[in-house]
Amino acid sequence: MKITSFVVAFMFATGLISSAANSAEIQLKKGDHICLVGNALCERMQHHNYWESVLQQRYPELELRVRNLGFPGDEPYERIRSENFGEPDKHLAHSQASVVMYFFGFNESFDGDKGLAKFTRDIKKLVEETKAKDYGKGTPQVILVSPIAFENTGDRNLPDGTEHNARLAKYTKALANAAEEAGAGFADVFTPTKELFRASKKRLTLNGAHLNDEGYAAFAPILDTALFGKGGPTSVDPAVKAAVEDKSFHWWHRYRSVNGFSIYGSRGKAGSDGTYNNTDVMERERAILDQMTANRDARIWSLASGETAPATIDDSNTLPFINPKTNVGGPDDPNAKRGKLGSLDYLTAEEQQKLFELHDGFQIQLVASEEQFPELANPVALNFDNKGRLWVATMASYPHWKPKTKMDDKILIFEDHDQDGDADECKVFAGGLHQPTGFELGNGGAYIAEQPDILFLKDTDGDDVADVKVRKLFGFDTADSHHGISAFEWGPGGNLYFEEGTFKYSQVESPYGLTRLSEAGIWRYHPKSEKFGVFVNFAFANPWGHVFDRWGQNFIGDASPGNSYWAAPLSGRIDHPLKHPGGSQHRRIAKVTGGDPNYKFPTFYPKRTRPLAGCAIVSSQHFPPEMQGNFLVTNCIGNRTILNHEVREDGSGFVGKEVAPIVSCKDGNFRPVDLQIAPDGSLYIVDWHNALIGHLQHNLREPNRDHSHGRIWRVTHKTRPLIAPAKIDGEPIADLLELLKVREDRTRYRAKRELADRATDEVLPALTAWTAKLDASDKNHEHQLLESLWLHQTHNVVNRELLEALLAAKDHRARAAATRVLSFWLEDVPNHKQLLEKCIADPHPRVRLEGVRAVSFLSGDEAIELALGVLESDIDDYTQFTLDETMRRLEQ
Amino acid sequence: MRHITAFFFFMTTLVGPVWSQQHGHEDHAVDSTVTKVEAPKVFLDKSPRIVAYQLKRLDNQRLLMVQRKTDDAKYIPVYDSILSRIGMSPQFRQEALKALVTLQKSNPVTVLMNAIGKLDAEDREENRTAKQLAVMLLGLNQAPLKEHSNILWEAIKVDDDLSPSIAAAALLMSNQSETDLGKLTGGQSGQLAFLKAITLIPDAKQRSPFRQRVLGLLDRSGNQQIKNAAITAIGSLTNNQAESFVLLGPLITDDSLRASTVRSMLKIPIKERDSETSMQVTRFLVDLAEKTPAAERTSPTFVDAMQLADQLMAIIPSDQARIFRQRLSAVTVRVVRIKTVEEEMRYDIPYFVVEAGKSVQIVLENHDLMPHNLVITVPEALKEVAQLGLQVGPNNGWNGMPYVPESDKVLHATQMVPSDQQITLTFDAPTEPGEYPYVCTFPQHWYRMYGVMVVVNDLDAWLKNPVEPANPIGSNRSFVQAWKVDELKDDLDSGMRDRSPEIGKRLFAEASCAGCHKVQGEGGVIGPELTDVFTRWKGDRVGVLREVLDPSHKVDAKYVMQRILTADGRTVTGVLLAEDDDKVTLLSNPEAKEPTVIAQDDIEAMVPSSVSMMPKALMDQYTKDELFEVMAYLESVAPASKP
Repeated sequence: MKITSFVVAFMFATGLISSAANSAEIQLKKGDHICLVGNALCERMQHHNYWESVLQQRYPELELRVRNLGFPGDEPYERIRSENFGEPDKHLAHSQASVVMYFFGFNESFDGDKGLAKFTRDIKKLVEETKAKDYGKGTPQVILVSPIAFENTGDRNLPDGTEHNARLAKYTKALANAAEEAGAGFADVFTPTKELFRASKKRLTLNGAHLNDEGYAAFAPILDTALFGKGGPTSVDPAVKAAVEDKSFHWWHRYRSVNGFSIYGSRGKAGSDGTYNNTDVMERERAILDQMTANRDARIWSLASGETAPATIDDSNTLPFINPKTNVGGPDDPNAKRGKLGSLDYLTAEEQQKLFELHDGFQIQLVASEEQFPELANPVALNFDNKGRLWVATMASYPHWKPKTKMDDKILIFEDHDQDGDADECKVFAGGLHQPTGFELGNGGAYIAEQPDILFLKDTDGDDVADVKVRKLFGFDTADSHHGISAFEWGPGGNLYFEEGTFKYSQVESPYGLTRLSEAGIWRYHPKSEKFGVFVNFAFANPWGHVFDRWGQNFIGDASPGNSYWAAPLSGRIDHPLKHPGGSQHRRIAKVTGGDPNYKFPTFYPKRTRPLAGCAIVSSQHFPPEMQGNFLVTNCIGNRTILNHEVREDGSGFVGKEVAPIVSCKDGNFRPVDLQIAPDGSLYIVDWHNALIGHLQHNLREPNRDHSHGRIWRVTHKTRPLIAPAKIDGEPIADLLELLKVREDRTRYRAKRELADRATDEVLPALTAWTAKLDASDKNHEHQLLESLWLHQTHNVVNRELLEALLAAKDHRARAAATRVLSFWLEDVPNHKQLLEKCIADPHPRVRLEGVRAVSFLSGDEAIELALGVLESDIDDYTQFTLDETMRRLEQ
Repeated sequence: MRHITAFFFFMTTLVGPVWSQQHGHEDHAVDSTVTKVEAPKVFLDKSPRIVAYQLKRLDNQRLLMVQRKTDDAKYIPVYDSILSRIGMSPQFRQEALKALVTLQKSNPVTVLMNAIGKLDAEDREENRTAKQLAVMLLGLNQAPLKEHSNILWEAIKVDDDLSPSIAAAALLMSNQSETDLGKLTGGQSGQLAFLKAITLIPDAKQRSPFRQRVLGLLDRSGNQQIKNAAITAIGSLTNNQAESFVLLGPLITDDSLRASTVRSMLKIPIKERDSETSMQVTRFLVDLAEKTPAAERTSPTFVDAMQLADQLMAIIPSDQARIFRQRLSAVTVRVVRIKTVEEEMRYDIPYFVVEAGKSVQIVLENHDLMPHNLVITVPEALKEVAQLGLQVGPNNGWNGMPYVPESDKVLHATQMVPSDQQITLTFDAPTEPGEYPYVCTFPQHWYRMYGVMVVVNDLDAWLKNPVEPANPIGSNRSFVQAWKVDELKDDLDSGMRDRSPEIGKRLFAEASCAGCHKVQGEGGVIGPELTDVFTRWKGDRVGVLREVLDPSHKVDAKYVMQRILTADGRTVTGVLLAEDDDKVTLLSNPEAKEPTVIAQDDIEAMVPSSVSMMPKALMDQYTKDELFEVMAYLESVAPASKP
């Protein structure tokens, strides 16, 4: 089959390519194994299975097996992966590829003209190398698929695509030429999708760059025609598509297994029961998934050829599971000796409650337990919505969904109708999830981690059950389920931050280009502009805690070592493969990431006991005045305690000091993993409640891993009154703005989250009016102005006047926060150099440090000169670090 | 026994361990064609803190690319950095010294003492750098040292480990009066500086005049630190060593003085060791060995002591020695310590004797800047083993040991020992008496780096009638003199007259020069071609002589030895042939058959060395005449050279 008339004629008409570019023939044979390799366009085709459905309907007699090997961010010769994932050839050989379809060009196109020559060279080399291989079915046929066009969504926050499309056209042409020269088939989908976007009334992309579900539906016939010419199916058979989806699901969980580092990576050797280690047990499961995938191929063929297929699929032909013995108990149980193990004799919540010890003046009550709400199994994270309700993520399947079982981890909503603190009703907002290691509410729905994606789920009909599910962000690594995306937190300026642990090698695409991050860090994402990048590039183990104080200074807790860091010095720009030095995993990877292998970045208080699974700052008038601003830490191994630290300013940064804990429990199964100040000012604690705690210490399929317990606890002061929860959900904008004057951080947080959801053209005028009316004599005036600045940032509206006013504020904390905002607005503030010069010469060291940090986002000798200015003042260790790292970035 | 005088010559050093050294002799400015590096922008007009910070961030290569002139004080920090930078070539230090004298309207004594004062004695590399600056200071003429002696007197009072002793050494070299010397050694800190200064004086002859003062301090001082310093100073005095030996003997019983006493006694040639003292010391050390707990018998101090006891047993009556040896063998293995000599590519001892079939432990201490190993071969197999070692290369050696062939000619071998580390090799001596060579099998080292393990049936019988073993590579050369430019330069013009290029050419090969350097199309490629060396030097004979005798003085960038640390922990060194985005191509050694290619991805760090790969002292087994012959040969081949 040739690339035939329609497309060729179309391309001639547009003058984009010459006729020589598509001479290679695309000829499918019976039994072909088609492997899709490339970036997110490719990877996401297994979640929006239109194209394969069209393909199978067009050629049912050919019995084609399609395997999607795509990874967001993949380029011809740069595809970062976690340890021992395997080279591309290994996977092509595993799938016995006879046809390889390459999807490249989108990420590369951001390099523009200067990247074209390299891209052309790489693609030709890749085609030639692939054609020289035999993956088990002879010389593979190679097809290059062009990138799609960029959609002008009309959203003022997003690029209109003019520059993107000019670049993408050049890269498409380069692919056409390379295909011609190296002898590959070529499918131009750029030209027809550009036309598609122009003609479509509906929005077809998530962000201009990446297709949404309707976009993929429209893309399927375009790709089909570009490959095989006109004459393909005119519609998709839902039964075929459902079968393809089922196949893709099993393949996805095989190829993108969520615990790679514990399967084929180093920790595969862990978890041995004397006979079987993690690799043995989990590679068997992957083999079973391979067989189940193959079973589903056959079902697709029969459905595509119009036959009926039985409702259930017979998977009895698969290998048996390997079931490891327990390593729990016995006289020499090392986890028992080290105090890590709880008790396999689980206590009732009532019995457990008697074993708590509380800080003077406090009491604890049960909010919910698995006894009343069986859905509350393995709770891992909590949030409060704008109605004041508690949301909880659960991971009953932790550490890993088992094939042939129902995948059904959940997001729950608890309602407390009588406001007595005991939950009365549990609603399942979303089931069918896998390892939702963290989540945050916003945009009228919930962002939910489900590695390798971040999902956005939304209830549109008011029944508190999600009915819209979008894979919003993709390309995060899956090396370890418990190092997955977590600790979601809205920054004061409307960025969503979330964290990723060590062993992971992620590549995330955005309309502004690709971001790579290896070996842990914190991501940032602005949902309006879709700007995406790394906030902290630092070798954490698993950073599960992140919290902002009243003035926008943030603190990060690294779980495994139990280290707490002040974030500002760590959050200057440094790009993959480099990292800021000094994290708990730094020594292992320093040879790649740079810096003295022995350097340890200082914690802001000396850690006494590990780990740190979550953190919070006390900001609640329900708590006594002396506890305001304290840094709370959940400790679920060393002490089964909520640790409590006083924090004070010191030089550029902060120092903490441990004081008496809030609460601790003698029940070893008390595993506090997340906590938050509730709308009424009390403290809620998530109790993972499991006798076993380590991911590494037991086999992934250890029989004693618990899949049913979970508790939520609430700490209140015995005599101090609770706070009346602020009204937020659905309130008028003017009232919400008034809430920005409230003392409680979490109230302002939720009010801003609500304001972020409102239309920008309604919020901005109200905000301008509110800001103008603020009382300049109020002692909190500068903080209120800062909240206004942050809300501008949240709505992606630059306000230079307000920015400059705050850069000149009396309070150094306001100046430091404004400097941080400036670091996000450099492109939009033309006089940023002069402003930063002042910051760097500021009388307060924190403002100087923030100034130097901001310079890391600039480049060139001028930037170096700017940063060096900080040496005109005294500098402390944090500032020295920030300067050194900014210099390293500018020299990168 | 042939004895080679140990002396220290402080040299340019490197950061961290170094695999090999390289030299180049071309009279070029730094050539940056090999590694493309952009000249950094340094804001010299900004405040000193900013300038210092920026300069500190630059590696040596980039530092030398910063603009510098002697017409503006803003360049002072640049020269300051160059002068006291770790791993900087002496030529640039000299340039910086001169420039600083001009810019600061100062004098070399002040400039050097200032630079030394800023270095940290505790840091190994900075300490080495300070010693290099000390060499520059002590190399100044007497006149400036005398003229600026007030600076030196001030430095004596400084409270650190470097300045007082270096300043004191400079004072000692500047011919101070006895009264002034008395003033110097009037207080404890001055005494300590004086004693440490003795060991810093480069030429042993210049140390000799201070002998009585050193002995006086040892005798009079009640301070342990001073006593130990005096003992160490005595070890460095080469006059009246027999007296030194007798004097040191009794001090060995003092726990707090023993370590330094043993080290100094080891430095005294065997012929200067009195047998009565030897007897007492041996008796004490054998008793000590029996009392020392097993766990402490591997400490460097203990190994030193046993080395001394072992040597002394060759001096005392053999029946006594036999008893001591039996007692010792009951508690400890016979230890033979072999040290490498910094920058001279040789072991410190030419042979040692062991008894057939007995256990022996060799401790190889590498004091050189490059790695060395020690391979013991069967008799007369040195050269063959060295060549087989070359064939197996760095990665395919016996038991993974680089350059060690799997061969029945090899009896025992060590790994490559990195700089400043040691390795222990324990084995039973062969049962068959004979002369078993030991050699470093790193390519090309075998020319110079070897010795002989003499295996005898009866050690005491041998000691009564020692027979020096034959040279294992058939060379009949022995140490002549550690030649220095200053001692030769005045005779150079007359000495080079009427020489025969054919003789020079033969010596050029014999001294292994041709292994690395091409002359008229013949020779190795790891060093620069020397056909036109005189032309490049514009006929400057002293300049060429300095290249021969002091190879690190100036190293051409093209021949800088690159040291690559790979991601999997290997170290590879060589001269850079090519570098691109994917790979680095190196020539690792003069005899490598093909270049080593390393993927950029596998490279953790690539560090250029400023020290020449060429060993010093290559000519120290050659006479002055022979040296002139080589010089004349090089001059004769140069196109359009000076007549």
